[in-house]
Amino acid sequence: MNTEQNLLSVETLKKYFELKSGFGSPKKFLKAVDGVSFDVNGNSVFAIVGESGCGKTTIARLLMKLLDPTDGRIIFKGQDVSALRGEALMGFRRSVQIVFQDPFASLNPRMRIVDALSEPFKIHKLAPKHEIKDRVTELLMKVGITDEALYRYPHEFSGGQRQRICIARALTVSPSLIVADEPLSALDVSIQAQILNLLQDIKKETGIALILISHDLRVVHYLSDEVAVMYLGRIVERAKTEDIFKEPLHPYTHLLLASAPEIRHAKSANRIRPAEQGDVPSPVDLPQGCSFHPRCSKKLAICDKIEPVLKEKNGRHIACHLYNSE
Amino acid sequence: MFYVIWNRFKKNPLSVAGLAVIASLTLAAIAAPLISPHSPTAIDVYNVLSPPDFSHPFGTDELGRDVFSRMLWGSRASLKVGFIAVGIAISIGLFIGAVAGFYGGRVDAVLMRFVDIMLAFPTFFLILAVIAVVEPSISTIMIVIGLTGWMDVARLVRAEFLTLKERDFVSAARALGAVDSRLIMRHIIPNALSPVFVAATFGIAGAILTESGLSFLGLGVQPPDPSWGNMLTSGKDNITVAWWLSLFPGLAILTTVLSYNLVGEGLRDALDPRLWMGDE
Repeated sequence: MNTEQNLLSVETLKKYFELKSGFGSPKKFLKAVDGVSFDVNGNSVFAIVGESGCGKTTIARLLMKLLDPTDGRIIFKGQDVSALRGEALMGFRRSVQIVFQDPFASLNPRMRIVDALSEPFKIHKLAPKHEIKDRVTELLMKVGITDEALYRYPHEFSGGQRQRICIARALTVSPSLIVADEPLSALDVSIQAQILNLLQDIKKETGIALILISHDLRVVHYLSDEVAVMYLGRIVERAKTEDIFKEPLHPYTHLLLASAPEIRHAKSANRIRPAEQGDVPSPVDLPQGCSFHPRCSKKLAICDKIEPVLKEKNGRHIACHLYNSE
Repeated sequence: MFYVIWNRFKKNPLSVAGLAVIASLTLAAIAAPLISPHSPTAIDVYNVLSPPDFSHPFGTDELGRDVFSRMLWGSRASLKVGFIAVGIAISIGLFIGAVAGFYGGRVDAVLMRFVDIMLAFPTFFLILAVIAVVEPSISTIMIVIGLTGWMDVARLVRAEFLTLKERDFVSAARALGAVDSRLIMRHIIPNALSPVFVAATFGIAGAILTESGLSFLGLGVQPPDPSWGNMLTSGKDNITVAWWLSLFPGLAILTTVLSYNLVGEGLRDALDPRLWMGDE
């Protein structure tokens, strides 16, 4: 692994949340992210998929330095993010931006669009005062919003329009990386396609790298270059997108692919029904060994004893005893 | 946005009536020197305790002073105390609540325990104790009411901050490089003000009531300066012979406090964001 080439390197990142416990009882931790490593190259799309509660959003917040990691490092452009202060931190804020899941919650309801989008220009002194409005208009045009929107409040827009505005806001500082945390899941299906295309266009035009966090495999398939599959705070499989979709290795990846809604022939009725596979265990009391073993259809004797580690195999990374046994 | 709130406020006729009463009272208080028919302190020994008539619409008191004029001037004391005391309370409450809610942790724990201690004092008796030490005057009671009335605001603001600081738009602003002061002033406070406005309106009613109570006990506005509270004191002594001395100041306190409470209720409904999505 050569960190110099990578825009972003994440090394054994951990985030534990301490849970309130009564007097005398031992401290309990929720292991939201538990030793995650990956690299993102410039101008590529890295997807993180997994069920809700697997730690995807925590990773997004850690990457944005909105949370501090319990352990591990995030290296952005060769600098340890957790050590950034003052001017260096402001530089980081200009380079990494985020688009949140819920466009209804991510715009200040008391700020007009023009004020919300001017703010980054003012904070970072990116443009002289008289130019800011033009720059904001330009950005809004880029995401398909007319300048009528400037003096309106967020509640006057639909979800899709708001998400476009959020994307425009992320673009104000010309970042080199955008973290998109479930950018489509709060939107109608017809709108999802439009936003997806917008993200695709932005990636092509500007060369901004994207970390796409999603549970929707179709979106991931369409947009990403590399995929990491997360389960309960850990990456269980990581590979090029086409490899994962052509030949998923980890049983959990199989399960995810099988549970993706798809219109198929009647035959598909006999595919694995995820509901029969049980629920996700609590991230507070993880099962011993592989945390997926209670739901796994290919469980081995070793699985409930020893935890598998992420190992490279034929250019792919996988954490499963099925592939480590030889 | 203001228009939307007004449209919602308008739907409650009682609140609109309350607002009208407050508006006319405020105007009357401001214009008191111009419209009061007599001087509020002019003694007229030939007209002691005369019942309401044309030259004295609300009658005269035991020194022959015009009750109507005294009430007009007294309304100035009430409104001044109401606004300034609440202004002080809101400033302190907003500051303490914002700091506690935004920074959380130990800062929050210390500040909120302080709030609990302040709340444990019976406010009225605390004010009485303070007035017993410091000389009673209108400015003393404004300050004392303000200093003892900020805890509810602090709690409200803290609660708003606790939820607002976790909202995505605050995270987004932080990710865009906004520093704490900008997050607090530009992103959180504007969204936390609705309950503060409502509390302020109720607070004014409470402050007016407290001022009247203190003045009634002789610890507020000092005679001969008029206040609705100290007018009631003299009314009490003559209640069997001159009902107008007690009735009019009493009614004034009642309607003013009631109006502020009605407006507060209307504002609470009008400012509730859960209710105003989608109706323009």
